[in-house]
Amino acid sequence: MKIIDRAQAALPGRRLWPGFAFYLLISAFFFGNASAQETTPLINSTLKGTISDALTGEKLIGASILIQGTTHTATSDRAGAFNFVTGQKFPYTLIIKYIGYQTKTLVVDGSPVNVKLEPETNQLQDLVVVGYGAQDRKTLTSSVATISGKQIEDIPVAGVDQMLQGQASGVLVSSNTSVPGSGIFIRVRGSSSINASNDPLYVVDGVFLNNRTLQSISTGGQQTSPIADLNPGDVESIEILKDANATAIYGSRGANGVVLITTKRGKLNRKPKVDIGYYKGISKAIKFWPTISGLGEGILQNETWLNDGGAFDKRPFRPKSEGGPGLPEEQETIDRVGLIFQNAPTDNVDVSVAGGNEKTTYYLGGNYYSQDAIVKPDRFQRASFRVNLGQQFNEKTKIGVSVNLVSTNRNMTPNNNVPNGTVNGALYTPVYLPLYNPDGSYARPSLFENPVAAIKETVFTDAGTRITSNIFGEYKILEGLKFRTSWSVDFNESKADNYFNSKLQLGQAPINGIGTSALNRNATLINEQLISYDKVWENVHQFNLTVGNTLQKETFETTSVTGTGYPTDQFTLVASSASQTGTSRKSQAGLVSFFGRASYGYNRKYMIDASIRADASSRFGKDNRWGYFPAAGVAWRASEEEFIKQLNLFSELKFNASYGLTGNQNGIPDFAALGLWNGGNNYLSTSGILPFQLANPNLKWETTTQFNVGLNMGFLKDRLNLELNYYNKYTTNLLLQQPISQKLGFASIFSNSGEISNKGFELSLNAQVITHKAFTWNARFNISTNKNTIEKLNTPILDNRTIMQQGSPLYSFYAHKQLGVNPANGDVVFEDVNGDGLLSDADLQIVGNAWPDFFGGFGNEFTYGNFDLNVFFNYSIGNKIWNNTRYRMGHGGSRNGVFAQLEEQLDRWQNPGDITEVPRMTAKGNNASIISDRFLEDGSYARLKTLSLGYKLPKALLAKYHISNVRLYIAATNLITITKYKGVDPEVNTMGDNQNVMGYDQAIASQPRTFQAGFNLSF
Amino acid sequence: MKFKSKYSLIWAIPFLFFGSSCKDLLDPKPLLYVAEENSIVNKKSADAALIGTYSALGQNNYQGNTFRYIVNLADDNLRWVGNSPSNREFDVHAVFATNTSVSSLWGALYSTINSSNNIIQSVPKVNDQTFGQADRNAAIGEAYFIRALAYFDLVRLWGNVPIITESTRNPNSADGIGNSTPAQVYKQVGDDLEVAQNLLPASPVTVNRNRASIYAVYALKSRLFLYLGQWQQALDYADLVIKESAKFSLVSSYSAFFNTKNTTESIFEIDYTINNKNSWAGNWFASNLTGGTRELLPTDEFIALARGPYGGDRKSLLLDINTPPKGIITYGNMNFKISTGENQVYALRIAELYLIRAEAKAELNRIPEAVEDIRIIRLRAKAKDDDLNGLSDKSQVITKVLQERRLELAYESHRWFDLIRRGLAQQVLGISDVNKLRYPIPRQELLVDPALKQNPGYN
Repeated sequence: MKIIDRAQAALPGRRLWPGFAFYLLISAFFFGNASAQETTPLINSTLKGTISDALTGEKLIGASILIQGTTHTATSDRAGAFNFVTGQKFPYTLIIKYIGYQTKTLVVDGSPVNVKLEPETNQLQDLVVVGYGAQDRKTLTSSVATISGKQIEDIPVAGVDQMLQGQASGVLVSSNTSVPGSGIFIRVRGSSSINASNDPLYVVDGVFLNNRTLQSISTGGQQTSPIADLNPGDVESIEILKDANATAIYGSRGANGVVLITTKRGKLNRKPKVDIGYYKGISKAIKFWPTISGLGEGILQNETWLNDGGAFDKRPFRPKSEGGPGLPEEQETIDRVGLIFQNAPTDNVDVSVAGGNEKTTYYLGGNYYSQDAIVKPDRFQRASFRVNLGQQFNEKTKIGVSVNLVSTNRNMTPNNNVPNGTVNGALYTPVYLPLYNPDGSYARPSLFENPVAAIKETVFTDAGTRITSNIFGEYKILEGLKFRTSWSVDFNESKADNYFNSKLQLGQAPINGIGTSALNRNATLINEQLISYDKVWENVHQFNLTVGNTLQKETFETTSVTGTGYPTDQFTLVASSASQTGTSRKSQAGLVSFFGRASYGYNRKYMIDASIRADASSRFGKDNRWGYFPAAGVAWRASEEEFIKQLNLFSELKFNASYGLTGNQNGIPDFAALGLWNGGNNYLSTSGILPFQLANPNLKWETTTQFNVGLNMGFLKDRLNLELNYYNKYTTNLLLQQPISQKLGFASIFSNSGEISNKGFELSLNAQVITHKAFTWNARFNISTNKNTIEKLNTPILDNRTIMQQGSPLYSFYAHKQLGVNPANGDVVFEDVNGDGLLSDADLQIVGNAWPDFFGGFGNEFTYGNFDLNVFFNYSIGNKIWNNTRYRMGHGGSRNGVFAQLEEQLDRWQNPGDITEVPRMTAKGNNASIISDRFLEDGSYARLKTLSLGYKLPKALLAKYHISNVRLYIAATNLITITKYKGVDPEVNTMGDNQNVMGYDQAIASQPRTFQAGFNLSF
Repeated sequence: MKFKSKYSLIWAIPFLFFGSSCKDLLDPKPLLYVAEENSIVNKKSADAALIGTYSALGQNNYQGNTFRYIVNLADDNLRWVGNSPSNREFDVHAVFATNTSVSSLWGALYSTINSSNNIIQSVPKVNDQTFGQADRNAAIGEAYFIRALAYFDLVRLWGNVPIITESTRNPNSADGIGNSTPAQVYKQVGDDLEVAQNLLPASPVTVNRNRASIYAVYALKSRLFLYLGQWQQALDYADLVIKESAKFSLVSSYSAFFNTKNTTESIFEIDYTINNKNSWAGNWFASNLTGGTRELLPTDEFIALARGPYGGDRKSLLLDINTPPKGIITYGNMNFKISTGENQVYALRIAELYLIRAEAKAELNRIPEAVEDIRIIRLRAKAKDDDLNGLSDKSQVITKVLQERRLELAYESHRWFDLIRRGLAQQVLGISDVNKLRYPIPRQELLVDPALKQNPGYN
C-alpha cells in the first residue's frame, strides 16, 4: 500500500490524524476494487442498431451500449447508429446509457435493433437533493422539505430566505422590517443557541454561502442581508434539511438546519431555451400609527399640569394673550408620518438562456432587481449574472464551473431605533410642533431628527460586490464509483459611505458635517473532495457510500474612516473634511472536516443509513478542536408490503426515524477561547492596552442531539400526500457568553454552559384536489409547533425586555404585571410578587414569549384553461410582541412636548371612579416608566401573503412567432392581515442585530402591501 | 500498475493541499490582540498598560459620561428631559437594580480596578534592564491612585462594595469575596493613596495635569478626609497643594479655566482628544458627534442661582438656545459649546481645595479664615460677596460653603455627595427612603455572584 506511505509523509499534524485515517481506509478500499477488472474478447455475433429520443425521434449521438455481463461497449455515431462485433451469442441483454436519459435494458435476439430512450426528467421528479448527493424521496429516512422555484417565483421580495415564509413546515420566517434587502429572522426547528448562531447553513450547488452581514455602520438595529445577493430567479429548487440524519453530514454547521439551493443548469442535447421575466410592483404601508392630534396634545398636557398642582393661569396651552402658545383647539396637527411614506416601486427583470449539446451544458442568467422601501429614501438594487457550465470530456470525466457575479446598491438611512432616524423623527415628534423654522430651515423641536431633513439631506449608500465561484471536476472511476473535487471562493465586499451634512442633527454646527466611509470584506475559500459509490445488486439491494473532506478558510476585514468638519454641504467625501479618524481590523477562522455516509436499501422497502462528520475548528483550543457528529436513520415503506397493498388504501405509507448529533461553532468570536489584551485604548493621543477577555482553554463544540420520527402517507395514487414529523432537539454545552461577576473586571466569559431543548410537530399536506383537464386545484397546507425551553442555565441573563432563565423559553418577556389603574387616584397598580409592599425588580416576572404556538402556510393553486390563480396564506398564532412604540409614546405626561402620544392615551384616568388601564396624566412619579405588561400584546396573525392571477396566451397564437410560452399575471402581496395587534404590523422585529430578541416592535413601518403586474416569456 | 498510479496523482491533490494549509487553517494568529501572558513584559508594554488604565478611567461608562450622568442627574441642579426612560430613574430617585446605566458604571469601575491591579502586580516582576526603579515606582504609584479614585467613587455610590486587589486571571479568582463595609472601602482608598504618595515623585519639577501626580494624591486625600469628617487632615492636605502656588492657582478669569486645557487651576484633568472622545456634551445638546440627545437641562432653581447676585461669571455656564424651540436654557456655554467630544473632565481642581479648606476651617471653628476662602472663590467669579460679611455662626458658614460648591463646582459631580454627607439629601431632594441614597448593586451581579448581597431597600 504505497499510497498510504506517501500520504503519511505529507501528513500535516497529529490532530488531523483520526479523520485522515478514516479517509485513507475508505480510499484504499476503492483502489483495491478498482484494479480487479479483467476482459477476454471473442467474436460470435454482429449487432447493428440506432438510438433515438423516444419523444422527439431525434437521433442520439454518443450513447453507450453495453452487453450485460461483459465489458464490451460501443458508442452511437453521428447518425445515432452503432455496430457491435462480439463474442456473445444471441440472445443477450443490452444496457444503453445516455446522459440525460433513463438507462434502458433490453434483451436482443437479432440485428438490427432500434432503441428509443426516455428523457430522464420523469425519473428526476422525485429526486431530493441532500447533503453531498441526491436521494429518491420515497426512500428518504430523514426529514427534508422541498420548495420548487416555481412556488416562489411571483413573490416580490429581495431575498430567497424571505420567500420561504410559510412554505415549509418547521421553518419559522419573519421579516424584521420593511426595508428591502435587510435581515430576516429565520429558524429551522426552533432556536438552539444563545451566543452561537441560530441561522441555518445555506449551501448553493454544494458550496457554502456565507451569510455574515457586512454592514459596519449602524442604522439602528437592522442589518443588510447577504442572502439578498442571490437572485431568486436562478433558483431551481430549495431543500431544507431539518433532522439530524440529514444535517449531520454538515457536522458542525448543521445544528440549525441546512438550506440547500440548487440553481438552474442546462441539459445535454437541448436547444437553447430563453426565458424572460419582468414585473413591476407598487408598495404601500398597510397601516400607520394613530398619533394624537394637536388638540389632544394640548388637552393632555394641560391636564398633566393641573394634575401635578400647576396653576391654571400658567398651564402650558393657554391663550396667546396670556403669554402661551394658544389654547389646545388652536394647535396645529402636522402629519409628519405621512411625509415619510411613499408608493414605492419594485422592478424585476430576469433573462436566462439554457441549453446544451452532446458534451456541454450551459445556463446564463441575468437579473436586475430594484425595490424602494415604503419609507423614503431606502432602496435596494441588485444586478446579478450567473453562468453555470458543464463539460463532459468523455464518459468518465466531467468538469463544471459556476460563477455568480452580483452587484448590489443600497440607499440607507438610520431608520429604526435611533433618534436621528426618519421614523423616529416622524413618529415621536409631537404633532403641534413646527416642521420648519420661520427662516425656512429644518426645525428640530424635540429630540428627534426632522424627518424631511433625514430623507432629503442624508447621503448613505452601501455598494456590495459579490463573486461566488466554484469549479469542480468529476471522474467516474468505475460504474457507480465517482470522485469529485471542488474548489470555491465566496468573495463578498461592501463599501458603505455616509454623510450627514450641516443641515442634519448629526452634522449640524459645530460639527459641520460628518461622514464615514467603510470597506468590509469577507472571503471564504473552500476545497472539497468527495468519493461516492452507488450500487444496486439484483435490483433489490441498494447501496451508497460517500466519503469526503473539506477545508475552509474565512477571512473578515474591515477598514473605515470618519471625517468631520466639511467646508460646505456640497463636499461629501472624507477627503474634504477637517479631521479624520480611522480604523482597520482583520480576523480569520479555519475549519477542517472529514465526512462519510453509508446507506442501504432493500427492495425500496427497508432503508437504513448512517453518517459521520469530523470537524476541527480554529476557534477552539488544541485539545478540544475535533468534534465528531454521527447520525443514523431507518425507514420502512409499509406500502410495499403485501398486506398493506391489499388494503387498497395507501399509495404510499412510510415510517421513518432518525437520531444524530450536530454541532455549532458559528457566530462565536474567532478567538473566544484565548485570554487576550487589546490595543487602541487611547489616552493623551497614545494607544494603550487593556485586558480584553479571559481565557477558557476548555471551550469546545456546542452539540445538538436530535431525534425525529416521521410518517408519510399517500392516498389515491399520491393525489393526497400527508407528512407528519415529530422532533426532539436537545442542545448541550451551549456556547454561552456566561455572565460573571463584574467585580472581576470582565462582564462575561465564553463557556460551554447551559442546555436548550426544542420539540415540535410538523404536518404538511399536499392535495391535487381537482385534476380535471380544464380545471385543476392543488392545495398545500402546513402547520408546525415548536416548544423551546432553556433546560439549564447557571444564572439568568437579562437582555433588553427579555430574560433567559432555566425552565423558560428563549424570547421570554420580563415585565411587571399591571393589575390595573387604581380608580381612586389614577396610579398604576402592579402585582407585588414577593409581597414586600414595595415595587422592585423582585416583582418582575415572565409575562409571555415571542414563540408562536402554531405557524405555517396554506397555499392553493388553481388553473382553469389558460388561467392560473395562486392564493397563499401564512399565519402565526400565539406569539407575543413587546410593543415598545406604545410604551415610549404612552409616557403619560412624563415626557410632554418631547414625545408624541398615541390616541389610546385619551382613555387615561381622569376622575375618581374611572375604570381604565391608562393611568392619569402626570409628570411625576413612575407610572409611565415602569415596564408594564400592558404593552405586551398578542401578535397572532393570519395573512393573505400572495394572491396572483395569471393567463397563458394560447400556444397556437404564439407558434407563429416561435414563442413557446407567454404568461401574463397580476399579483398582490400582504393584501389582508387579520390580527388583534395594536401596532402597525405583527410581523416585526426591531432588534434584528440581537439574535436573542424576537418580537420587539419599536418605530418600524409595516410590511409593504404590494401590487404587481408582470409577464414570463419563453422561446 | 499504470492504472493505479495515474489516479493516485489525482487523489494526491487533497494530500498536497493539506500539507501546506492545515496548520494555517487551524492556528490563525489573533492579529488584533496579544495573549495575556505577553501583555506586560517590558517597559514599553507597561507604559502602554498604564495608558490603557487611564483610558479605562476616562471611558464613557465611567468618567467620560455615565458617572457624571448619574451623579449630576441625582442632584438638584439637573432635570431630565430625555429619551430613554430608564435614565429618568435617577431624577426621580427610584432606581431599579436592572438599570443598565448602573450596571455599565459598576462594570467600568471594576475594569479600571482590574487594569490597575495588573500594573501593581506585573510591573515589579518585569524583566527589563531599561525599566528603572524610579519609573517603576511612578507607574505603580499612578495605578494606586487610579484604583483609589475608583474605590472612592464605588463607596460613594454604593457603600457596600467588594474589594478586589488581585488582577483577574480566571473567572474563579475572586470567588467568595463579598461586600465590604463603607468603612473598609474608605480605608482601602486611604491605604492606596498612602502607597501612591510614597511611590510618586515627591517634588516633581513639572506637573503633567493629565496624569496622577503627588499633588493629585494630596488633593484626593483632602477630599477623602472631608468625607470622613477628619477636618484637620482635610485642611492639611488642601494646604499642601494650595501652597504650591507656582504650580496650582485659580486662573484669573473664571471662563479661562473652561476655555483652555490644563490651566494652573487643574490638579488632575482627564484628557480627551479626537482619538478618545466622550459623549457627555451629547446629553445637553441636540447635536454632537455621538448623536446628541439633549437629555439633561439645568433646573430653574439652578438657573436662578447662577444668574443671581452670587453667580457672577458663573452665569455664563448657561446657554440660551436661540434656535427653536426657544426658551431652552442649557449648560456648557464655555467648555463644550465647541465640543467635538474632546472636552475635559475636571477630576480635581484647586477651587475645590479652597472650598474643602473653608469647610474644614469652619468645622474647626476658624470662621474668619473659612469665610476668606469662600471669598477668594466668590471674587474670582466676580460675584457679590456682601452676604459673607459678618458671618460668625459655623452652620451659616457651612451653608455658604455648600452653596458655593453648588455653583462653583456645578455639574462636576459633587452636589449629590455633598447633600448626602451633610445629611441634607432627603430633605432637599424630597427622598423619603434613606436607602435610596445608595444605588442598587446591579441585579445581574447578584444573579451570578452568591457572595454579594444587595443594598438595603432594594431587591
